[in-house]
Amino acid sequence: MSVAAINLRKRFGSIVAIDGVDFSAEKGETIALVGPNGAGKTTLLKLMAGILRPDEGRVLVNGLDAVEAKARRNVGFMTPMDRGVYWRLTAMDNLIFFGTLYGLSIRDAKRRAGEVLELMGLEDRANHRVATFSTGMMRRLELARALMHDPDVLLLDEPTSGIDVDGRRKILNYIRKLRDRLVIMASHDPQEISLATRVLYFNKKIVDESGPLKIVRMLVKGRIRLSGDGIKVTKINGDEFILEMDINKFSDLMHEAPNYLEGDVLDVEVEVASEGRVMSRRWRQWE
Amino acid sequence: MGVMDRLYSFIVIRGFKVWISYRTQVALNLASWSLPVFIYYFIGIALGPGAASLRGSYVAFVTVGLAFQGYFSSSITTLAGRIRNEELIGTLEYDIAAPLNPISFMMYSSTWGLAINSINALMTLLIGLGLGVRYHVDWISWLLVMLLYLVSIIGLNLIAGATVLIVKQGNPVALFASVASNLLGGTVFPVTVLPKALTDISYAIPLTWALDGFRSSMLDAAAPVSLIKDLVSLALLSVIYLAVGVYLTYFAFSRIMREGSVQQY
Repeated sequence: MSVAAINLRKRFGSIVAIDGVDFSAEKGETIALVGPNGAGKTTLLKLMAGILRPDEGRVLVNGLDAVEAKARRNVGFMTPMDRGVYWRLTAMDNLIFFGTLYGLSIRDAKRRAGEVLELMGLEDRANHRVATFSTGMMRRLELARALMHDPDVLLLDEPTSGIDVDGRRKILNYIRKLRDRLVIMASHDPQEISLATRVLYFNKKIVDESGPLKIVRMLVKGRIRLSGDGIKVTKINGDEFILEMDINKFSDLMHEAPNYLEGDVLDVEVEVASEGRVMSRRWRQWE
Repeated sequence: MGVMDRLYSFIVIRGFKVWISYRTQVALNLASWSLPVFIYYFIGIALGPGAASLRGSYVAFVTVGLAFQGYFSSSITTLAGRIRNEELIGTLEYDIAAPLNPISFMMYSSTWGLAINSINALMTLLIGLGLGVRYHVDWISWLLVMLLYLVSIIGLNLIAGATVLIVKQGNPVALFASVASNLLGGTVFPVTVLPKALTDISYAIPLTWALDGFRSSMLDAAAPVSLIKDLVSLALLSVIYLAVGVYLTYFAFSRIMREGSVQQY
């Protein structure tokens, strides 16, 4: 399975959204699209999902044009919206409905819905109306919907945005296990990006590319309490510290941030390094 | 697998379960289906014996008219409203991301409107029965009229749905359906009483021919051969409406996917 973008261009009126994108991705890859707001990441995902047509160029999914129904059968797509599911229906009914759109029988859709709801930690809410869900639960349901037909290609737009720590851990662990699929996700989140086997730095086009992220350096202003191994702490001022750690350690650190970053953390700046490249973001911008 | 499961999803899950979740709306729907029959029943009484010249009974004339007019007006507004609603709640993008071609998606989306109007039709006919209407049905004629009528309704549904996809709000097709069904379709009075120009226009509306066919097949047990004019006219209009609907649907989908306006409302 593969996705390829060939000389892809897209404008909305006078606004250039995608300005000549060429790339290809194969099974087994997890690709992070990283870039500022308005960089065109969501537009690129929609083009790959076949719900937006390019002005120029093509997107091929397993060799088929992405807009063809056959190509869409193997694609799971999710954008972070509070809208996007039927609020008057239960989670189970939502998933059954969308499952049948992808060709599942009612029986298979019910079985699969049970699986993905459990995967997302929503099994207890299967027969509750979506209107009663929190934002985070809604996100998990949207991700469950993208997984309903067990797609080869997953296109995820900020998949853990708005989801609580436990929910994030579950989803990130699940994505980490998808090594037999192709996952392409747009993200601002270092934890999500830490899963990538390849990072595409994107602003209307691919401006840079790197391999998996390795080292994270955090500039922390405030009081900290560290007890874990594998984190190098350097005090640079009275209340300023540099924390340096392996990317996997960073993910753990963020899961258990309250245990490490105590009290009033004034500011956190994150540097993520890969093959000599360094991305730097203030923490608040990553959130 | 496929068609039946999707029909279940569109009719039972997305149609019935969502509809039934709005209880006030359900009550209002039931009232709006039944009250007109009573209103026109009393109008028929007020008009006196003169109105009985219509198929022997004005109540019978109106009951059949009201029962099947709903397919024409409500099912169109149901689909157009559905599409509009999908834009608003944000599910349209995910519907379109699924591997269904535009025509299939719109056809499936039409099914709930047709299903709920079948309930409406049955309820209206039963009320009519209670009010003294006696049905003498030729089932073959009825089935032929119904099939051709449904094809034309699906065509009109496609036109209405495609229009909503493009204009988003202020659907002129729904307005046309409303005017056509109430004024021009012959629902509560025969089109022959209209001025000549309006009568001519009414002949371009499938409802006019369908109601004539339904009344003949359900009240007079007319055989198919005696309905040939209605059937041929309906068939011709069905082909035209369906062809325009299919073309407009592909055009609308292509346009919104090019503009990126699937989620706009």
